[in-house]
Amino acid sequence: MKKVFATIICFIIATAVAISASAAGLDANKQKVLDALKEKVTANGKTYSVPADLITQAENYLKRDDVTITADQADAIVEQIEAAAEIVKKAGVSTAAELSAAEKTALLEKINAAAEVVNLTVSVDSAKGKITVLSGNELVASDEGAIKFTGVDVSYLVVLAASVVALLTGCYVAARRMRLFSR
Amino acid sequence: MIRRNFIKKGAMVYLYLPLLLCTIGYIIMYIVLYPIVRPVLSSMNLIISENKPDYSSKITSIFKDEDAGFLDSETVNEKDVVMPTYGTHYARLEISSVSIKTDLYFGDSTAVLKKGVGQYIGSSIPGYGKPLLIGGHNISAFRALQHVKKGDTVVITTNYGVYKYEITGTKVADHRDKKAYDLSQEKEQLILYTCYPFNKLGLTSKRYFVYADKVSGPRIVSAPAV
Repeated sequence: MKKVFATIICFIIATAVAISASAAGLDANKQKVLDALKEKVTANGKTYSVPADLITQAENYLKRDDVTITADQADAIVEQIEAAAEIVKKAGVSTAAELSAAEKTALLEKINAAAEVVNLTVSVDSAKGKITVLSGNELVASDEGAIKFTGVDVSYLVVLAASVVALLTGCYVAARRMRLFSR
Repeated sequence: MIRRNFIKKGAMVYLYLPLLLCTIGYIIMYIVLYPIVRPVLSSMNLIISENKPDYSSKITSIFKDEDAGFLDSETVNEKDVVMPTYGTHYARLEISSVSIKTDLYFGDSTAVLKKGVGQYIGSSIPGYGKPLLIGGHNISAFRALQHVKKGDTVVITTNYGVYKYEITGTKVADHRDKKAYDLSQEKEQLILYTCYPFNKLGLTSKRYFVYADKVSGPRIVSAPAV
């Protein structure tokens, strides 16, 4: 009887250890998604791939312990990634900018569908052509440039200073009209 | 002569004195009403600023000074590493030769850069053997970056290890010049940058880049995929 209990306890401990180990880093499901993102597409003699910094953003997100992806979810995401790759392949263009409006819309639909699987939202700034992926209010990924503005933004101070100067100029003009300078 | 004195007096009474009082009054009002004025300024900033909207008003920290670099080994298991979320303070960056000591955040939003230096989320955290791209303001955290020399040491202290990098060079480049940083390389190169020139106020298109190669620090080892 003791041996039976010992065997059961050992099995439970072994299973628990296996589960906690898979929680950290990239498990098989996360790795599957990442591999699909890293896949290169070749069409008309040209090879396309997702930029390294965007893959790293995805990798950094997937490495988080609070992000879990089931096998079904991984399959659904990979399906959308492959469909997106097919759109690029058929288009046969050199850059994303060369894609037609219809192709861009179709591509965005695939990105949205892939994001929805893991409750992420994709927002598009059509004016700047930038895509942002959010988890709630938290930024997960963005195709905005890597280099940010690290100087001092004095634009609002300039506006305030201009307002003060305009006000004083107004006072001066009013004083001149009222002949306050020539008593 | 009398008219000239009147003009001088008039200028003093109606121009210089109001200007002085206006300036003093503005400063006092700014200090007193700052909590009320701040949202207005933020709204103005949203309209006129070229910066992207700030998604991360919440700043959290996972960095604990007492735990800093507790693992002094050649490797560290990935399960001992907590992957930071956007806007999280996860490490400390020091360049003792130029007295830089600042908090390192994961993410480089406007809010983050007001508090310390921020890492681009498209680059890896220390230990993965991949490049790190970190930016900081040229009037605060990275003001002294202009004085670094080849051979100086940059230290990044995390909860899982202490990483040392040796500066190999500097460069001034346009912020759109992607050749200034290679994020696809399979080498742990630390790339620091700030706005250039250092003494110019406002938003500039040039950046001052500092490059450093990893000298020591534990390598993060992945657990086998299950």
